[in-house]
Amino acid sequence: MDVFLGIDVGSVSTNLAVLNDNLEVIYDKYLRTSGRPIDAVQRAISPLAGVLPQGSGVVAAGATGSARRLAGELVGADIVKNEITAHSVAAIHLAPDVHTVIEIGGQDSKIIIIRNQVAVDFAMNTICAAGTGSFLDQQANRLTVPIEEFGELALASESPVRIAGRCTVFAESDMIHKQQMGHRVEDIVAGLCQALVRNYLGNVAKGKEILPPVVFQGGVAANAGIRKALAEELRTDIIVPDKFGVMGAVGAALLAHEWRSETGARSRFRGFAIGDVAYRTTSLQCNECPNLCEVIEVLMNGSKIAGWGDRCGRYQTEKKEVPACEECVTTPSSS
Amino acid sequence: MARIGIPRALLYHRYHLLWETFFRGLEEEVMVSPPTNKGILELGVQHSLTDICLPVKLACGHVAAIASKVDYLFLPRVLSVEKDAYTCPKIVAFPDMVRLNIPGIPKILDPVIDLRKKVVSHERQLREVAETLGKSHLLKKASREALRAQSNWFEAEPEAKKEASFLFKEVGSASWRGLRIALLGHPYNLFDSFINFNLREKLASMGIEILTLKHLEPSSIEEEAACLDYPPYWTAAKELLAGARLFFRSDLVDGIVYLIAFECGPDALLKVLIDSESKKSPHVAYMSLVLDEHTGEAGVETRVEAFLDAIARRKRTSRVTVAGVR
Repeated sequence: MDVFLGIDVGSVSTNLAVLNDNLEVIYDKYLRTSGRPIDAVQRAISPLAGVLPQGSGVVAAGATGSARRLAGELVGADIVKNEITAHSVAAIHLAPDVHTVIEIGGQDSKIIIIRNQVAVDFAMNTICAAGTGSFLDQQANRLTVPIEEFGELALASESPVRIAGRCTVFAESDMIHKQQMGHRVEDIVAGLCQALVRNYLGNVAKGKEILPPVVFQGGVAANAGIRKALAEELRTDIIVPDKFGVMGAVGAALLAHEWRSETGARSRFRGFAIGDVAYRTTSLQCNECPNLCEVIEVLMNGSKIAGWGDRCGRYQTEKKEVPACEECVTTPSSS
Repeated sequence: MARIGIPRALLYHRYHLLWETFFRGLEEEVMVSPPTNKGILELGVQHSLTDICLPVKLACGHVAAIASKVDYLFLPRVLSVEKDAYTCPKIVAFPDMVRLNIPGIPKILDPVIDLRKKVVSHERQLREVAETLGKSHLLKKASREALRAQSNWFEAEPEAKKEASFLFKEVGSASWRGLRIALLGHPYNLFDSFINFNLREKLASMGIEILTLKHLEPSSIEEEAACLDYPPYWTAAKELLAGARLFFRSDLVDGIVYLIAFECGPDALLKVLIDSESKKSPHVAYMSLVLDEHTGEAGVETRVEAFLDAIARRKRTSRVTVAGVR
């Protein structure tokens, strides 16, 4: 059986989805990246041989997420795409009449506006990651509430307190202040959920026309408190797909399928055994020119398979002509 | 013969032809700092105020990079380049920032350029500079040549010369080829490849046609600016808003990307105005990108890729629909 693999390596989670040729999700996995993307990719891929139906062959693989390039090299992805495209493709596939996709992940949050099954507009948080999953994670940690129970705890609140959601630094001091005043943890947690939603709608989704159906996906969609706050604020039902946590991976697999049907080419997929390969990255600061690029090289069993991070292309796998360093331009007078 | 240093920053990107030609006409040697690199950024961060915008930080770095190599620094105090409008206050104050923050600088040539109330000829604006250099006899000729050179600015697009690939080079979808994208932004954000992560080069290498304000008729920008209900206070912002409106209304482009420097006051206001213009023309895709010294290349690329994908997918779908109707 031909299957399509998608992998989404984000800051917090690494997700994997396998689709059959009817484009149904036959397997998915949600893992913590835990700051070690290479390890996470290997942990996600290696059990696949045991769980997929006999005779399954990966005919196309796609990678997405902030570590998409690294993941793409490790698994041998045929297509490497940004998260926004991957998420919108997945949402359209699972909810064809969707008009708005809200995605809140580990370090970024986005809104995608879809009309007639085409993404027509999107926005992403700018340079600040306030109001994303990492912050919830951090606060759950501080309150020693497992993140899985965080949302349920918020639902138990009867009177949420108001927390400043603009900036996580202020939000944290606000939360500490409220806690020291004697507010109950569930009220603080519910207040935090509301603050996060307010921040999202006021920043990321500002000025966008949010029409139902609204699909909410990304790791934070697991949080019942956020779901409730979002539904209240938008005054509409929120659809959370079954596979809300792995939608990026589903999208990457769909894009891999698209690649396959457009090109008919053979996949570069390296196979399920990559768990046994010793991958390593080395980083160095190049001193060839004043740009001092921070370069990453990926080594597979000791030999280099990819490099990036340089502005001039010197470290890319293919040999490129290296441009000369630019110096001051001095022009003598006209006479 | 003296050596005149010009930082490759701020208004240099708008008036380089004027300035370089002028000093060559005075028979002086001109030294322009190298294109921005990380070393210059670091110098700039070291020698500027912490809360200033990135373009000014970079300008301080460019000054520091050449300060010890030149006899004079040319840092014109450009208050106003047209009637009833200003440049940005940081540009006005730039010579002072340099004097106060950068040690070991040579003599600064900082003529005041102020056309806010009345037209002052270029020759008069720069008379003192020529006198300081002892070149008054060449002023008239140099000024004439400089103005002639600058009149070509709109035609002379700085070439996107270097090849630059996306970080994720496999990503460049064939469907991007032939898209036409307008890049909006201050010339020092648009034409400084360091600040915008080689955006022009990357788009060009994917077969995307890039348009800037230079592709619009200067007279049409002026006419459009005259139609604005509330023309912005700053010349550059006014030109950008007028240009944006022309692009939104025309069939020239598939999408518009507006590059903003974080902590830029005029851009903060202009963004709101351009956002609202974009609402009137939903058929033209639009996105703004915020750049600062902490901006990661990957973050910029993710947004640009998604933007191009969205346009390409939309075009493909509309083609399919049209074909279906037939």
